[in-house]
Amino acid sequence: MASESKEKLERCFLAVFPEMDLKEIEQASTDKTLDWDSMASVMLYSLISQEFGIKILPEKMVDLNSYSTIYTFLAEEGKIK
Amino acid sequence: MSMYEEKHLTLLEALEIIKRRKAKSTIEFPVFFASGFTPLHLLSFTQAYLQASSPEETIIIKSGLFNDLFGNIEIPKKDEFRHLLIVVEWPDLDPRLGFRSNSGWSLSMVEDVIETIEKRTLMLLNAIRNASTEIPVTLCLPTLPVFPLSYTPPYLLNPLHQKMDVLTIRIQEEFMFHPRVQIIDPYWLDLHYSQYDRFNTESEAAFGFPYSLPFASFLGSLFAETISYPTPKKGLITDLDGTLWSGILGDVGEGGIHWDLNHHAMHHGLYQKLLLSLAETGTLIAAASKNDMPNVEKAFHRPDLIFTEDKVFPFQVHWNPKSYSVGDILRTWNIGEDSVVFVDDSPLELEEVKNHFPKLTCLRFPKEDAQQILRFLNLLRVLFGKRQITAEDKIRSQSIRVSREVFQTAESDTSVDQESLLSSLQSMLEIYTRGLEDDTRAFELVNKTNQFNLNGERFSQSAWEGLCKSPGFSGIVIAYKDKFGPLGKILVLLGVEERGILDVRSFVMSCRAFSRRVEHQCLQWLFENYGLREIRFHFRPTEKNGPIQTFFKEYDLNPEDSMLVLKREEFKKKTPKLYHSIEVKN
Repeated sequence: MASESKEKLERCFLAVFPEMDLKEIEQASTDKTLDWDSMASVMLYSLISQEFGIKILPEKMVDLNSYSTIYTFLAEEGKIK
Repeated sequence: MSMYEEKHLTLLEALEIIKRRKAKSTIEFPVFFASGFTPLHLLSFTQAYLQASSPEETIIIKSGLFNDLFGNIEIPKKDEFRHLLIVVEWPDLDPRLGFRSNSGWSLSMVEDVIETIEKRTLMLLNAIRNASTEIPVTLCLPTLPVFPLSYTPPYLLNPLHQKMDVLTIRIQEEFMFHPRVQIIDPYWLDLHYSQYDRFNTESEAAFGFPYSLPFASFLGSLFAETISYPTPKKGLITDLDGTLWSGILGDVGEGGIHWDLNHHAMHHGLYQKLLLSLAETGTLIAAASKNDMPNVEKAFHRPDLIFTEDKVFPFQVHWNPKSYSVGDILRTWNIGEDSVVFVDDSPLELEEVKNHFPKLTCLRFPKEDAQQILRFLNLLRVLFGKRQITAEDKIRSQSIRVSREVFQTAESDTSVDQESLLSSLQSMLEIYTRGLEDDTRAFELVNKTNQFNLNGERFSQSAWEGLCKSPGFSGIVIAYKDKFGPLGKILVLLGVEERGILDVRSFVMSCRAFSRRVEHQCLQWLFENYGLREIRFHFRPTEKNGPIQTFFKEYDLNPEDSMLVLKREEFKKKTPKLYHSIEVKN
């Protein structure tokens, strides 16, 4: 279950950043990833909301600025166990 | 979700389709998307559905500036884009109707909004008129709820909403029969999504994208269909007991089967009514039933039957497996399984048929759940829906009967002399060489013919018009008739002629016209009337174009080559005897 959810999160990232590989995705963040602009953020938040059935509040979006913070957020919400 | 509704893509699935196709094709299909909002995911969905239906092209969708619908409609030019999608929402006509406006409220403001949307609708009409002279348009009129501006209770019609309806109808009336504008039907949207379920307030506030993802996916699928023109299915094979009527004919006799309200069998009657309309508009209908034929004949002699015997061809009534019946019907119709729908109330029968014909669309008739009948009937309309009815649609079934009875029998019966048969037909060809760009039947024929098809190439409306207007363009359409009746327009050849050489890009003939040597006569007429030295065919083998490959082999042309060259002398030596009289219509 945990690996399925992780895989789903990776698919979301791969769909938005098609040029990256899995290793790069785990390191991805708004600071380090050139392609991660505001449009990519919108795409990513929408994908995660639909795939994990979760609402991401606008004030929370600012904090979700890397793969690891998103992973942690989903784990806290019980979406990745 | 009902079994009769299509599952739509999630955003992740859409992005993955786009990603998968990105690097593969160099043929581009550019589309322009004009809206006043940020089109964001609606672009992704539209692109993904289009990409999935046109895997050989790279779909490119561009959009304009935020909050400038009118400016965006003016951007696309014919040479740059193949299609224009226009999506209008009420805030494009007056921002005070939207949720992003902080304009305050006053009683006089409502009247002002009414005046503003009226003026802006006139501007919109003008903008669409201009755009549609350049490029084919898909138009989606407002789909989203508006801010409740009126002071009246919202269940009572108020002047603002009444005006909104009037203006919408005004736009619909102007463009409904326009040859280059297609309008998404609001009724279809209403059937699937309430206005609450279409709108996403949070996404509108955060990103300027007002649609919920499921509704955006649904809209994207409709936009793609208006651009890609999916080919309607050609034939429907129906079961009888429990499907065309309620009751088991063998048990209850012809008097005990029903399709009416009084016997709680209305949904069978509605199905018959829809079959009747499909048959009248050119869909082939056959029956496959495990029954005894004398019983079925008696049932079809009941005068109150809505769907009558003369609309069914052929009947397959016996106790063999249904897959046997389906196979025989497909051979009689001479069409592929992917062009046919099979309807039965028994899941077991459906599975048995599906195992033998995996590309056939198998649908379960909602015998036990009359509540599903509207969805089921609408699904049939989706599968068989046509944009226009042609003269050929009305004679298709009859011509297939004649083909079966006269030509297929003659081919398999060695005692029948082919030459005597062909010479006795009094066959006549009508040849059309002008006005192909507006010939909807020719367009349909090129886009749906599979077997006698040079290369399987399909054309969008704009590509079709572009080819017909290209320098040196030569195209002919042939209609056929003989003593058994007309077949209508059955052959199209499109090419470019230069200095005695005709370069053929498309060459298709309806399977209803097989065995009549029309294809040979077509080439003979071209050689003679255009003074051609040779005809070059841009050939590509497809899964289904075996019949045209057989035709080329008659002239010793090798279907393994991509360019087949037929010289005048070679053609003259090998062409069989032809018996048609010819009339050139323009």
